[in-house]
Amino acid sequence: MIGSPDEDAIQLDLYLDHVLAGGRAATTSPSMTAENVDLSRTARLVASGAGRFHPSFRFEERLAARLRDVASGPDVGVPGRGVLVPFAPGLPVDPTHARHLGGIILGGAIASGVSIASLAGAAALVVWRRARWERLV
Amino acid sequence: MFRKGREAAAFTRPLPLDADRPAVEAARRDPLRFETLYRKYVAQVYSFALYETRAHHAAEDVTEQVFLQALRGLPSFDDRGLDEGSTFRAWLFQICRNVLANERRRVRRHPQVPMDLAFDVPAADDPAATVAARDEAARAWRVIETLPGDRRQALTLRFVDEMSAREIGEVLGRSEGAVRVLIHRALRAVADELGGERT
Repeated sequence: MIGSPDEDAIQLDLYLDHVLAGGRAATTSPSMTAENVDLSRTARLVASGAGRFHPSFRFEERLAARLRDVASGPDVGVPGRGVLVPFAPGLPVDPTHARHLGGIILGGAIASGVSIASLAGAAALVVWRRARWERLV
Repeated sequence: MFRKGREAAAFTRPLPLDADRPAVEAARRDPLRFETLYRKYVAQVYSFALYETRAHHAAEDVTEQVFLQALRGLPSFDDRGLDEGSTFRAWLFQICRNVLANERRRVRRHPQVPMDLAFDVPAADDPAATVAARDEAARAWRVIETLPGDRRQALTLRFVDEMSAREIGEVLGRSEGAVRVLIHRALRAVADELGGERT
């Protein structure tokens, strides 16, 4: 029913959607009730003063670091998840950087096995290449 | 072949999807991925806390507690999905309300000298008009500060965090319709108070 509290509230809510979508100078619709025309001015006023604040960069980064610590800790356990061991702060996790890490992966048992195998293989390759180099020289 | 009636409605209606579901799932698999959600919502949570506490340090403490609790509680987060918005965001703000309530119980008072928040009023050609508009907006928010908790928080969530009535309902534990009426009455109270101040 037009003019009922619920209908007024729905109408005003639609108007707020419009104002918050960027139409802060939005004009009222002719179908709005007198009550809502009155409130629309207050709504625009409140919207104009509704600033969103950002915490300081220092606080944001400090909390981000704390969350990373907690996420890496044992108290945030999710069954089946792997454990990522950071090599150095700020090291980009990027496949192109895997080359620079020499293929070393720290993690679960399978990854450890692969790492040991790849290290052993790399050592054998170095020995073979050194022996070959010495033969050539 | 076309379906009719309720069956058709059930068939054509898309499943509600939390906008943050992929990020939430990623964070559940690997908690280090929680940082994506943190970066997305840190300013919103901080702003809400700042409007409630009116003090930067208190707002930082609240923000820190909210995200630590959210990270630890993520495995138990019930992702039901809303037609619009994010259930994760609503859940985050529910945590924020609880933290704020605990903080109030601990402190038992607001800061003695509440800070004046800087209000973002678009610049106008007429500096005097800009100053007047800023003053009036500041007055409106000072009135909002004095409103009862649910009304005040509903207005902050609607105007600052730009949540829909439905999302606010999730945060406040009320129906969408009840939130609309709450906001309507809250704005009525602000308008009446401002009208009283002007006369």
